[in-house]
Parts: sequence; C-alpha cells; structure tokens
Amino acid sequence: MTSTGLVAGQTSTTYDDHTEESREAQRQADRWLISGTILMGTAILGILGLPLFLRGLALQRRAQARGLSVRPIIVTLIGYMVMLDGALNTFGWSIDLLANHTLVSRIFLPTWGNMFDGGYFWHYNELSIGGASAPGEKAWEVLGIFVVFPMRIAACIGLLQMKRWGHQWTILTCWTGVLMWVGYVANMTVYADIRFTAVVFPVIGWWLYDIFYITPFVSLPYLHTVNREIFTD
Amino acid sequence: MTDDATPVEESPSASDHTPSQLPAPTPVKDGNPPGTSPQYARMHTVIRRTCYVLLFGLVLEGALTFPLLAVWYGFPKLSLTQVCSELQKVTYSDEARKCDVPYSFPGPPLAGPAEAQGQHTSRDVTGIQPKPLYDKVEFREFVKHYQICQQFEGRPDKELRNLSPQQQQFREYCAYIADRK
Repeated sequence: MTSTGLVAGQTSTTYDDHTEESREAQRQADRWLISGTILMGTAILGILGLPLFLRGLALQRRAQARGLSVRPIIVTLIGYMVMLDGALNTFGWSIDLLANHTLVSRIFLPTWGNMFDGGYFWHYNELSIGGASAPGEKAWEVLGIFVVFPMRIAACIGLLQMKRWGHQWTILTCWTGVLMWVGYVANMTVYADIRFTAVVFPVIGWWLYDIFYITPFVSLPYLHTVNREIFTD
Repeated sequence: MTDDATPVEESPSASDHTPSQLPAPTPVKDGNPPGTSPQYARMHTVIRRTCYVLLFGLVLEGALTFPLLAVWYGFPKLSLTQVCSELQKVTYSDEARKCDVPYSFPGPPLAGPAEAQGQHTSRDVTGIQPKPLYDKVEFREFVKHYQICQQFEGRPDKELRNLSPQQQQFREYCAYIADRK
C-alpha cells in the first residue's frame, strides 16, 4: 500500500474510495441538516430542528477534519439558511394570503401586527380576499410566495449540490431579496401611519424582529468572492 | 487496496463527474476552506460567524413568537377565541364584535366573503394616507377588559342607563377600547 499524499488523518487510499467515502459522509450530514431545516422552516418547531441541524454541521465538520471532500461549512450554512429564510417568509406570508381565516392566523397575524407592524392589524380581514389590508402588502406577498422564495429555495438546492447554476442563481435571488427589502421598507415608510400608529414596538421593534432575515445580504459578499471553480457544471 | 492506487492529485476533471457527485477536493494549502482565498479569509470567517448568530436568532424567534404573543395578549387566562374577539373589538372599534370560529371552510380567498367584509365601524382619519384612531394595547389589557366588560354583555339599554357611578365608570372603560374619544 502506498501513501496517497492525502491530508493527514484521511483513511481512504484511492480516489474512488475517497469519493465514495466523501459522498457518504456528506449524505449522512445532509440527512440531519435537511431534517433540521424542515423543522426550523415551520417556525414553531424550530427548537426541535436546531439540534438536528447542529448535529449535521458537526458531522460535516468531522468529515472535513478527516480530509474528506465535503462541502465547505460556510456554503452549507449559507445554502440552508438562505433556504430557511425563504421557507419562513413563505410560511408567514402564505398564512396571510391563503389561510387568513384560521383561528391561529387571526391571532398570530393581528397580534404580531399590533406588536410590530400595524399593517397586519389595521382593517384585518376586511379585504375581500382577507388578511392584511395595508396598501401594497398583498402585492409583496404574491411576489414573494410565487416568484422570489421558490426561486430562492431552488437556487439553494443547486448551491448545496455545489452546482455552478446554484451559485449563480443564489447570487441572483439574494439580490432580489435586496430589491424586496428596499421596496417593502419604502412602502412601509410611505404608509407609516397605518404601519406604526398605536403599535407596541414600532420601527425599532420591527427592525429588531426582522434583522434576523438578512442572511441573503450577508451571503452576497461571500458569493461574490468565493472561488467559483469549486462549483461544477 | 492496491499499490497502484490513484492519488488525489491525479483526479479526473470536473466534467467526468455525474451531477450527484461532489467536486474533486481543492487542495488545502493555506488552512482556508476550499473556495476561500487568503485575502478574503477574514471576511469569510466573519460571514460564517454572522450566519451562526442569525441561525440561532431565526430559530428562537420563530419558535417563541406565537407563544409569547399569545401570553402578552391574554392567553391562557383568555382562550384563543376570546383573544381573537378582543383583538377584533379594537381593530374594528366595535364593542360587540365576536370572532367567528370556526370560519366556514374554505373561506377567502378561495370562497365566501371575508369575515369583516362590509364592516364599516373601524375609525380612521381618512385620506390618501389614512391614520388609525385606535390606541395602543397594553400588556394583558385584554384580560382586564374581558373580565370587567363581561357583566354588560347582552344587557338591554334600559338597564345600562341605571348604573351605579362605579359601574358607569366600568361601562365607559368597556366602550373605551372600542370607541375611545
């Protein structure tokens, strides 16, 4: 048996062995990561999903330490978190657009609205299609649910598979996120009386709540500076 | 394992890989992960750490928002349906408003009118940029409102005209959340 010149600690000796072992390690980590992300994407079950997700990350880190060819941790984090961002936004906006007469929606959305964003409290369920009545809100919901977030989730799947198109489309969808935030905040500002009158934690409260949804923007400098040769066609 | 094992350096090109395969490993020369060049290593580290913070933030926020909101607005002292009704009293400035539960399936936007379609009691300063006239709801104010106001529900107007001064004060408070000033 000869030395292969691989990273210290690596166990396989042939390229095929190495590839097979790497793929298996990645697959095993992804099982945990996917399960965790699905649970976290439901919002309320996120506490159960987080340990699964962290276990997946630990497995991947361990595989990396063994010298296996697994995804870089940062790509894993960005891929799953941008996907999670899309999932959580889809969840929240879908219940307003499509399930606005369930009891949970009629409590969660108006209470959230009363707490942070009056657009979800003001004239709630008075529109013929129900849900938030704030000017422009439904247009953002349709754009997000049917265009931006599905595109984002698909792009992340490509990114996590280390595909060139996944990398390119994640950049695209993250920039689309910038467009959405700028447009959304401008709309809120124009109708600030509706959005923030008699709200418990207005403006700063809204920013503190929503700031955790900036992963797509945080990811952009990485996506633009990573050596794109690590992504394949 | 044979002695003629192919070393990593002689790995096939990326085009030989099937779509499900991961790319060939990038040699780690400088301690940076694949794809990170030395001049961006620091920035990539900051981004990775920020992602961890955002991950924990998103998860905690997602899991805790609904329970904490429910408690702030009166649960478990009030049932979820009662919280819903109290919310609607403020939203529509209508003291008699009740949350219609369960709402007939499938409901809007698929079928049927919205619950508050045609409701004209909400008060705003109307105009091109409307301004609502309801006031801020304080911490667990709905519990207090519900407990005090229950005694007046369904009582005929005649009885409500002959209230003691203290009851009259309570009566005004009950109207206050729905129709202040």
